[in-house]
Amino acid sequence: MWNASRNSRAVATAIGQAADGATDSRHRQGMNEAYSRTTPISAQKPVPTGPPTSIELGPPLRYTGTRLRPGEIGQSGAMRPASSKPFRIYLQYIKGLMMSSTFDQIANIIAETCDIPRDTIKPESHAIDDLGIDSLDFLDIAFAIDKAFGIKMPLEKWTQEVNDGKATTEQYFVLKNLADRIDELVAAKNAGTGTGA
Amino acid sequence: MNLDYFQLIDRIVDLNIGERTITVEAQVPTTHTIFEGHFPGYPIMPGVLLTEAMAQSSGWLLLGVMKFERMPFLAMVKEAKMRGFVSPGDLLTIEAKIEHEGSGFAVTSAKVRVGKDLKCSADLTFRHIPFPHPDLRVHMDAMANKIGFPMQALSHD
Repeated sequence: MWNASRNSRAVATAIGQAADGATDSRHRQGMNEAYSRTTPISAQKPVPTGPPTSIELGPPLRYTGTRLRPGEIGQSGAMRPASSKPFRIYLQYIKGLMMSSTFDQIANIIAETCDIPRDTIKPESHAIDDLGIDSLDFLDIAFAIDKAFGIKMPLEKWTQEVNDGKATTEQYFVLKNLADRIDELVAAKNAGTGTGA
Repeated sequence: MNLDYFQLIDRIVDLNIGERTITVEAQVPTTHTIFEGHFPGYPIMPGVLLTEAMAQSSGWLLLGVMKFERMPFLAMVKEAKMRGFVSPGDLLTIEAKIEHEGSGFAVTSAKVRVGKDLKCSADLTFRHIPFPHPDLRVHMDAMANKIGFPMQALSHD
């Protein structure tokens, strides 16, 4: 994972190279000539000719968590279940990439639609009370959710239920509950029973 | 086009309820006080009025789809692009189609052309509610008759 503080040196180096690349070429050539007169060629730094193609990662970023130790591969050749913490975190990360939950999709839609930082959107967040989403923004969100899941969220029915005191806003606007409602609508659609809209 | 009464649409050329599309025409007047200020010596149709024309076109389409049971109100304008000047006297051809029908809202896209030239386009979102006042329903019925709304198209779904 990127660590800005640990890699400030590497970034500064990269930026410096980019800045060098943008320096006036005549000035750079003159400097290089002066430099080459007093410095053996073998000791010269390579002169950057353009923006860097990669950023060198410093030693702290080298990942060593999966290095096999003696005995980790059994006679059958199968790797033993990894138990090191870095490896578990890595597995969780891969799992997260492969499986995007309904909540994650909703959260991403909200973050993108309403310009809310993604990491502030939690399953327990109330769309209105916690995230401050107004009804107009929620139209945008409903549009995106409808399209993403191929459903028609019955917003009017939900609103009526809340107004009639038959439901609370938490049932529909706390995001983990909203995710459940969406899962139900998708399941109903897949079962061919409609969305109840 | 009766700018004083904000009636931007003159007639419905085609309404296809099944396809969720509409085509309308609107004649920009040759003279109006708006053009005296927008702009002196170089009169052009304001972009906000072109956007309103697209919204009214979409509105008639939505009224038809909802069988005049609910009234759409413009809620959001996205990607409004004024691609060329529209001058006094131009005949506008406006096409709109429904992109999404949500619960209590709908999203349309619309285009305005003069001849073959695309002059502007936008994505519009509407809320719709049951007619909030009987006078409004009476007015919309009268307007529908005036612009040639094909009531027979409502039987097609």
